[in-house]
Amino acid sequence: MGVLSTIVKKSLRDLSKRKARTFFTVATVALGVMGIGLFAIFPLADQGAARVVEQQRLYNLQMSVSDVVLDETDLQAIGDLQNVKSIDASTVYFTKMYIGERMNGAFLVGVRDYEDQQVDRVILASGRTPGPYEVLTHWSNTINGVYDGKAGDAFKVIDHTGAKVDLSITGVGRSLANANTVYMGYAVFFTDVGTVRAISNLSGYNQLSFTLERTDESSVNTTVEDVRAWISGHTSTVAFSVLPTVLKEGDWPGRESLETLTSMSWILTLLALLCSVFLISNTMNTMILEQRREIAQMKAIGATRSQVLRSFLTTSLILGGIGALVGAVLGIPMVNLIVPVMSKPFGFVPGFAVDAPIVVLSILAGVGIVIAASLPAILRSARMGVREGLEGQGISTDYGTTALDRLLMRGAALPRVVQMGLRNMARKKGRSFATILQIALAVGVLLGLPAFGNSVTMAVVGEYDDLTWDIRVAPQALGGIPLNESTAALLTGMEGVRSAEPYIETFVQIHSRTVPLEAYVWNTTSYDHGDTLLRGRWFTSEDEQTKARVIIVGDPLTRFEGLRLGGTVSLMTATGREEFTIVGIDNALTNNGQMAYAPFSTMQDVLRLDDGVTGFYLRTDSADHAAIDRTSTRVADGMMGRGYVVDTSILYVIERRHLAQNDVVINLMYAVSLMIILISLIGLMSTLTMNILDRTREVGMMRCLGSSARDIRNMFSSEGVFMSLAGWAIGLPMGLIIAYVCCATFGSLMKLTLPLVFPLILIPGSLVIAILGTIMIIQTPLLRATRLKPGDALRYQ
Amino acid sequence: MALIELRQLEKVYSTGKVDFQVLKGIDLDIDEGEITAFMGPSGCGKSTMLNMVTGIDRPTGGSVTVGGERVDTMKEDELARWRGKNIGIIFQFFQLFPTLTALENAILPMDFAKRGTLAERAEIARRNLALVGLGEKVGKLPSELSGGEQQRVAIARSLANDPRIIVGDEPTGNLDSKTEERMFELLKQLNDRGKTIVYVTHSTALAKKAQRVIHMLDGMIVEG
Repeated sequence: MGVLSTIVKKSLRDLSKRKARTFFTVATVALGVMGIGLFAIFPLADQGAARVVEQQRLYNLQMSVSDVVLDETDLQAIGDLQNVKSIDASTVYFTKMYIGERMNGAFLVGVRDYEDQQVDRVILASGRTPGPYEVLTHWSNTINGVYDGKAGDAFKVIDHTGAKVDLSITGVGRSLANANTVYMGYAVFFTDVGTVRAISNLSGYNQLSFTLERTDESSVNTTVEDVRAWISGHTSTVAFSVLPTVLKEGDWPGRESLETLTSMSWILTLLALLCSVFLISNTMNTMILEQRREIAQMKAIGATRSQVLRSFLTTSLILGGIGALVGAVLGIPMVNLIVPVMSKPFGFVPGFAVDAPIVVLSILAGVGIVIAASLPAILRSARMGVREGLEGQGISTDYGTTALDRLLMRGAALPRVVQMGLRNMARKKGRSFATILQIALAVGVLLGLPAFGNSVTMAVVGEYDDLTWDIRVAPQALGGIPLNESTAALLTGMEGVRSAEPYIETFVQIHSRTVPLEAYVWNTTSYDHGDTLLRGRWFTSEDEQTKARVIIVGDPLTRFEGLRLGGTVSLMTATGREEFTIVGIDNALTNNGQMAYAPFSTMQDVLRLDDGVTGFYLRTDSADHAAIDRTSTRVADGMMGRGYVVDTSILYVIERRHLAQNDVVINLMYAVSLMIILISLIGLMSTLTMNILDRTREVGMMRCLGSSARDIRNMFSSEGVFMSLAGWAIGLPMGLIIAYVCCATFGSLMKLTLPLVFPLILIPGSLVIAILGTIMIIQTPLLRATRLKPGDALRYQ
Repeated sequence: MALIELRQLEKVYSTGKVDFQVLKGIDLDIDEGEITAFMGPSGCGKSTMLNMVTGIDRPTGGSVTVGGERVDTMKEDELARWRGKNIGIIFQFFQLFPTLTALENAILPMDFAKRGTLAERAEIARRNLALVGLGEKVGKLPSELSGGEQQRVAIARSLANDPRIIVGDEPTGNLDSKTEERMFELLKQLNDRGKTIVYVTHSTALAKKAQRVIHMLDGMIVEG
């Protein structure tokens, strides 16, 4: 115990002797460990969501129905069905609202009874419960930049006749169930059912929400059938236009997306940890090298190999322990800053929370990594002989023995101090190599992440390039004259519209997966299938005429659901189950490739729509955005004026919004990569500081020989810049690898092929950043070197 | 007027808790062309005094004048330039730069002083290395030279800027007696060419070869 306590004391004093180095090492460990905290983002967000789910009584099952009149007794009766825990009904309506001069999609939710909300409770965040023609604005409206109206403000919406109706805001409401709608760009408002019915011309409810006892597939399917049967049997409503939405126990809207987003950051967390390992390994190597003499002295006075080992393990433990603790503590606020940013788009902001298992894991991993990184150097120290240690000069003087040394001795044209800087790099090959690797990692991240971001962006842009329409016209839920094939003539007659092509959009279930299905006319001009068809064929006029049950599926679906070209697949549609033959595989990235396509007339037949359509794709006379905007407003107003209540979407606006949403992922990755770059820069600063400490006597000697502060500065700067250049050179292929891994991981998570697009501008850009970053970061150690007084430097031990 | 004039020279080292006075009011003149040896037990202040002469350390009291210039009041960079031109220093452990060849080590002070052209510097360094008998080993790295050869490179380096004064801090302390003998012969040759030689030594034999021996004890000159 006596020996142990002396060892601990020695370790502590060794660390306090080199305060700067101890600080850098602890800082690096702390940053690496902080990165582990990123693993807590999803669990904390999920826990926060779970609290909201419980508070708001989020649905397990949501069914859209056409206008169904139900009274309290009916609701009670449906609530008594097997597996139903609670039920609530609402009347919802998609319409348009005016925000200044601009029109925007609006979604009105008519709450049955604010005092007795059983499912999907709207929580009053501020203000008061709305009365007739009053609304609560969704808390996410402002956060997502959709609409920033406050209590007391008023706005206009279009009613089912096309007339403008004034609504005034009484406060703010929160609802997890509708946050996704806001995320899609619609402003969501909560009001009473009476107001929504008046605006929409509905007379009952069109949305039923349930919480269930059991959420397994079979129980849910049975409940859906029971509800359908009850409604069909007790009311005149038969239409269930949309497939029910199911949220299993613990699920919430957007959960899978958030999990995917956060898992992308894990790759970078691992890279950050790797950077820390290099730096820690470097530090321990230096520390042990410096203490060769002390190790030999310890052995000379009787210390055993295990006692030497214990001494340095104690040092590692102290460094790792402090670093891990600091990192774990700093990780808590960091994660609590990131979690709200990540979860806001999904409609909730969890309060401050600590993920205890991750904190413990961070600390253990931090200590473990430090020990693992130090172990090679520690083992070397234990093996060192007494004479070898006592004769050692601390810093190696055997320069010139390797081919690399000889190689670096070329370049006589360089100024002497620059030559010295270049050659000094090879004096501590292990340390320089680790530093170069750190810089390479930073450069790799600097290159790889923007390349990945660019690839995602290009993929999104490419996805929209395959869509060749300009404006999409779709009916707003219920109300207004239904659209049918003959409406095309009306649309093409409008100013600015070149062509109008009908389409059918619906959802189908392939096995248990719900995917969108788009039905195009066989000779469509709205979708560039020639560019996206991977295998098989597109639809023919014969398919169209015979209403053939043929389908083209997205490539990811073949992997998800084991589908193959030429095989058959059973599709659950809104009207029942149908067998389809797979005639093509498509590689478009729409809905991450989880799409299905069928001939237009086939789907009219399957959905029993007669000549009904779910919308039109319009191509405009001009590609100019302002012209498209004008045409869109003209079409919306023109259709409303003729009794059609339609919603128009503009392709370039959707694309822009999609790109902005991707920026959330990309920005998260940039934030983590900044951490890696910071660690690398600290590594470089630490290496140069250690080199300066190692060569303090040499600096003194140079001063003795008449060198100026500038000479010394130039020598160490050259060393830093050369390391940076070497790191950059290695970082180039590393960047490609990182970008490739990110694309592959993202693709694998999304089950799609994300082609890597590497912008060449990043190459010179990263070089400039690497050099400038190096020059900036080495100023502090350089200052130390140039301020050394020759006498102090020569006496330095 | 003496080449080196030390007046009431004091040096106190502070270690935080304790002040330790190494030099206690020393007055000393060394004339141009002299060979002067400092002797004394460890810690008596002889190396510190040498550091005062070279400007490596600054006194806490008194003055240091070398060649008519007040060394103790110069700024750090000014001092470095002055030292590079006027003083050649030889250390016990040679202090060669391990990444530079013998020739490059011998050129370095000229690079710092920006003396002549690159070719001229190389020519001077080759001449100095030839003078110390290393004309054949100009391309060798320190790790490829023996201790004696390294010290000869250090001497060649000290001659780079043709300084008036050459100082040695235990210049032969790490060499065997035969090599020590040869080193002194070299220093003597330099003295014959007009250089003032000042060195610190523990070796009585080496001290006896000097024209003047100064004995120090507890920060004071006790003889010489």
